[in-house]
This record gives sequence, structure tokens and C-alpha cells, in this order.
Amino acid sequence: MDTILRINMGAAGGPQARSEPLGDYAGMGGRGLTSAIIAAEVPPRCHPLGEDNKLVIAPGMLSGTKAAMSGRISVGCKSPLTGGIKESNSGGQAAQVLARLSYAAIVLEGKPKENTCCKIRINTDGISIETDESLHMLGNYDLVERLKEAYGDKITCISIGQAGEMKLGAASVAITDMELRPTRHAGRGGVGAVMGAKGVKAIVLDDSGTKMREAVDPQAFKEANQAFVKGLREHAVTGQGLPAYGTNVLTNVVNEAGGYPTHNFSFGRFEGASRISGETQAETETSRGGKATHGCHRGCVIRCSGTYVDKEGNYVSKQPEYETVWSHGGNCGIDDLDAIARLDRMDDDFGLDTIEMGAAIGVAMEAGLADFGDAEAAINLVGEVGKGTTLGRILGSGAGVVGRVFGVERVPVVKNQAMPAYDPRAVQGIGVTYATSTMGADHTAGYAIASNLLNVGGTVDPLKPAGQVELSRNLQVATAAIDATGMCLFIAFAILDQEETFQALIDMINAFHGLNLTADDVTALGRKILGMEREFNEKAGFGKEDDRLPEFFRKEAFPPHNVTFAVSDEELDSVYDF
Amino acid sequence: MPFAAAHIRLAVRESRLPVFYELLAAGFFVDAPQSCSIRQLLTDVSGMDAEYAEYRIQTVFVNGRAVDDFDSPLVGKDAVVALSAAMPGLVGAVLRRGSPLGSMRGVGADKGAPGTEMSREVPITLKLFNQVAAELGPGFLAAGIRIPTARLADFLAKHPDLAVEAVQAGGKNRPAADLPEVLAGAGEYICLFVKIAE
Repeated sequence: MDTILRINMGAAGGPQARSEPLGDYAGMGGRGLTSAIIAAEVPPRCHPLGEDNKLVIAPGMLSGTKAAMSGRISVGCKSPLTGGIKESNSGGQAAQVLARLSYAAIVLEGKPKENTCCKIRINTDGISIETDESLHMLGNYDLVERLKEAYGDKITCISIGQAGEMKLGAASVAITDMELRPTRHAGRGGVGAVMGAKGVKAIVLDDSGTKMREAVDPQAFKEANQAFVKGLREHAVTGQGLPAYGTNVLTNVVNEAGGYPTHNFSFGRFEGASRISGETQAETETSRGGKATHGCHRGCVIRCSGTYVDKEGNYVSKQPEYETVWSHGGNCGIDDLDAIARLDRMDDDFGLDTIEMGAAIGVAMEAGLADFGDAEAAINLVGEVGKGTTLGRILGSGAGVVGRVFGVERVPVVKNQAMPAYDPRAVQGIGVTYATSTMGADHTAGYAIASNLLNVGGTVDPLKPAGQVELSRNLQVATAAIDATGMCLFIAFAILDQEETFQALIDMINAFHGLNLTADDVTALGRKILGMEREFNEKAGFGKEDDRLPEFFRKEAFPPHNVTFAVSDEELDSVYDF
Repeated sequence: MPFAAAHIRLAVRESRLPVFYELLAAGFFVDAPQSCSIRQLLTDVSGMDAEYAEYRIQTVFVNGRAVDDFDSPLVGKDAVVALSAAMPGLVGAVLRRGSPLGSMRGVGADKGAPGTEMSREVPITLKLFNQVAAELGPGFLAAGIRIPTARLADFLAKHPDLAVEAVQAGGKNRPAADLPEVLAGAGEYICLFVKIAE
């Protein structure tokens, strides 16, 4: 995995592909590599849909190996939604397959003179790029079926739906799962719109004839992986809670905390929460013949996903995640799991970020386009995006655009990216991360690694208010490093509680690459990534004034605890003091 | 159970028991000494094993605020206590008992106030989530949970496949077919018993 595949979609005479060594990017993977390439090669002030932007697709440092949980793939670019640097990552099969094909990254460059609809095929024989207008404006599900007919069922697809072709701000990049369904998405920041601007509808990967990547020290790697898996299986979150109920296990808990944004962030408790909780979802799936426990890629041992089926047992969608159930559910006043699963399926098919779309529908409901709680109206509104109507294009451009078009003041975005499912007034520390992340409002930008284990910025006193800022900083640094490994962020819980599991992760990286990294080196990597991203955003025109939550979070008391966001601007400005 | 005018008894297949966890998550009433501690509520009142309470219940809310200390007293007559295992996500980690990320809550923990009166019993709403519901739910359901009648009526309407084995109202057994009538006349609260069908 030492090669970068660059494809110039704007080359004279048609797209041209060339492979080159990693060079200065050696030692980087996942988010580290996507952000390094964007920071070094993309003019920060360029138009995100123009020829100077690049779309970088990179597996992690451990992808394609036998390392458990190493199936995340990063997609990076200058974001058409935020205008800043973007890394959006996804599960599915692509990271493992791309890594086994020896590619550290695919970089789509340039821009075709006219709108085209290209498919790129990559296997051990090489690369082929061809125009196929018959794929134009297909949804991801139909698209994958067509590609399966053409290339068989051993493929893995990276694709866009209608939203990407229309270059909408909420457009995602879809990744197929183990069942060859387009259910996994690099959703955030409009990365699908950049792929659409490059004229690429699908990248078809086939790793037939390849082998697992071999470690420099196979025995040490095997032992470290075993210890890592043991730690994940023994932990209450990664070994029990997530497999049993998926991420949606959070609905009841966040709702109880009064931090569940309901009716477009108007209040923090949703009366119908228990009807759409992970517990109810798992029972519904199981009793209908679906699955409540399923992995999104080979090598996953947590298996937090599932299969949602209708009352007759027919497949509807993968198990909607917590963020999706919230965005299309409580945020819009909808307590019907069947309707939410339909909306999830539509988002996946059209190629839309479920968080951005649910937030956009919530703002539209506040504007009076539909009533809160009206599931059919929500389904119809998302349907407008698939049809490409004017209203659909507005909705598919994200919550910020919907707010501006319809004159809504309560628009929950930072850097124009919609907030996820935790209100920053009820959990103030996550508001610090929402405000200051290089990515816009993003719950995964500052996830959960024990700050003291990583020894970032010294020991934090959790009882001091300043701890919120310091913890957010530490978490953002640590998360950036984990994103570079290609590891699923859900490993964080076992690492948080079990020092030996954290050590096993470092041992795996060292044994595989023949390195001698310490926790300090991991921290340094995270800081380096954040530093590159921050510098890119500054050159793109972002300042301190962009590291703020919308005004209503300071002015509107949030029931049931009736709190406002109280972290000062000065404290927010100190997050990047490192 | 001072508010329960009627009892509903259901017998279901074991595989269908999880459908009732929705009711446990929505909350049911238990009577506890006023100002008792969370620990007393869990062990003395609810009969939980002390070790289970200490190690399994990693996330506790009192009146919607995360609590770190099991020995803090419950105050007020309408206390709501919610119990969960350890949860994923940054927020899940932030809300855990004794979390090193606790300062990120911002709204603070509900520390309550020292209790003075331990003799009088008051109703406390108890909510069980996730693994805690799966592990303790069967016991609570078998012993009976007191819930709003309207909530049970909505729930049974949503799940017509649940077979009602017996209905008791006013101390008398009634035919299952009388369920709608019993629900209509049950008053604000009702006691639901669920057992595994043989």
C-alpha cells in the first residue's frame, strides 16, 4: 500500500490515470493522508466544485490487514458545504479492498469540460475509465445492481446518487457493505458533490487475486490483534451494548439527559423516544426476521449495525444509526421506526447525508413546509431531492440553505454544517467541539480517547470549567490520530477504560509497519493533522468568528433544564493554543 | 400500590418479552422512603444485587441530570431515576458515573440535598434502559409495574399479538375480553404483570 493513484478527469483527450509513490506522504493514512494532500495541493480559496479541488479517497494505515476494526475509509476535499477542509469517513468494504490493491489513496483531479458520467474500474489487471451515460441519475441501489450485472458480485463500489450528480451540499459518497448494498456513506460535508463535479459516478473495485497485507513482524502483529480483539469483546460497550442495540442505544439515554434535540432544537426531550429507541428497534428487527447485530465490513468484531425489514420481512435498509433515527425522528417529531427506515433508505439511494437531511427537514418544518410529526410529509420532502425539483435542490443543499431560503432563525449549523444529535446546551463540552472543529459541527471530531492515557496537554481537572475546552482539544487531537489508522472510532470505549487495549492498538501499528511509536507519537500525529487542517481553513478565509455556535444557543433556554450555552468566546478561542 | 385499581396479567413467549422494554424505558412507579439514597432505592427497595448495581449500572440520571454518587439522596416527591449500562459516544462517556470527561456536561450533576425524613414512602419513577432493562426487566415485569393506564392502552393497541391471559379488576377475575372495559374504568394508573408462557 505504497502507491497513490491519480486520475486527472480534465486531461486533454479524456481522463488520464497515473500511479506514483507516496513520497512525502509516507507514514500517513486515512484522514492524515487526505488532509495532507488537500492542504498541500488544493488552493484554499478555490471553488470546491472547480478544477483545482481534489477528491482524495484513502484507506487507513491498518486497512487491508487482519487487524480487527480497520475498515474505515476517508474521503477528503475542500468542502462545498463548509468551504473548509473536509474529511468524511465511512465503513463498508472499500478500505480493505483498496488497501489490498496496494493503493494508499485515489486522487480525483481536474474537471471534465462537459458534464460526464464516468465509471472507473480498478483490479489487479489495472485501471479502466469509461463514460457510461446510461448510469446518469441512477440511485445508488439501482446503480450497484447495474454494476453487479456488468462485473459480478465480487466487486466493491464507491458511488454517488442523484444528489452527487446535482452537486448538492448534502451529497454523500456511498460505499457498499458485505452484502454489496450501498448502505455505508462518507456523508458529511458534501463530498459526493465533489465526486459529481469530477464527473465520476462510480469506482468499481475488485481485489480478486490479492492477499491480506503482511506485517513486518507477523507474530507480534497477530498477538497484538488478539489482545485488541479480546479487549473489545470484554468491554461492556463494544462487547455488549453496541452489538445488542447499535448506536441507537443512545436515544433513551440522551433523551433522559435532556439533550435530545427535538422539533429543530426547540427542546431536549422527545415524548416518543422510547418508541424509536435502540431497544425497540432491535426488538422490531428481530421479531420481523431482520438482524439487530451485524458488521458493516469484514473484520468487524463490534457489529453495531443490523438489517431493518418491514412487517413482511422484506429488506428496507441497514439498521438506521442513532444520528439518523434522531435527525429524521425526534428532530422532526416523528416516532415511527418504519418511516425513519424508509427515509434512511431514500438518503442512501439518493446519496445524502442523513444528519444534514434530517436537520434540513427540521428547519423546513419550522418554516411551515410541513408539520412536525408528519412522517409522510417528510418522506415526500426527501423525495423532492431525488426528483431534482427546485425545492428538492434547496433541501439537498443542507440546513443552512433551507434556513436562508425560508427565513428561519433557528438553524443548527456551524460552518454551515448541521449539528448532530446532541444539544450543546445540555452537554456543553460537545458544543466546544462543534464550534471549533475544523470540519464544522461534527460529533466525531472530538470522540472519546482517554486524555490522560494519551497524555495530551497534561492532566485535566474535570471539575474546572476550563476542563471543557482542554478536554475538547485533547479529544480532537486524539480523534484525528485514530482517523488516520482507519480504525472505527467505536474502539475508543475499550481504549478509554482498558490501558492494555490501547497498548495493543499501538503494538499492532508498530508490528505491522516495523515502527516503535509511543503514545506521544500518536498524539503528535493528531496535532500535525489538526494543524494542517486549521491552517488550510485560515487560508480559506476562516477566522475566530467562524468558531461559534449560532446565536440562539446563547439566547434560547433549552428545556427541560432551561440552560443556554455558556462557554465564553475567549475559551473557545483557546482551543487551538497548542 | 395505592394508585392501582386494576391488575392486568399477561403471559407471553420469552422471545416477545423484549417488546415490554419500551414500557420500562418510559418509566414505572416504585414506592420508596422519602429522601432515600440511590443505592437504597436500587438495593433495599428494588432488590438489586449490590455488586450488580455498582458495576453494571454505569449511567444514572436523577431528574434528567447525570449522577456520579450512588449515595446522594433523592429529593422531592416526583423524582425520576433512570438506569443504564455504559454507553457509547462522547456523550455516553461524558454521562458515565465518575467520568473523567464529566466537566463536559456543563449543566452539572444533580447533587440533591441531605434527607431528613426517611419514614414516609413516596412514588418514584424508575426507568430501565438497554442491558439493564434486559437483565432486570423480566423480574420487574413478573412482580408487576405500575404505569399510566393510557400508556398501557396505547401499547396494547400497537401490539395486538400479545395475548392477555387474565384480567383482574376490583379484586375479581374478569374474562380477557373485558380488557377494554377494564382499561376504560381503571383510573389513571394500572398494574401490569407479565410472565413467560409455559
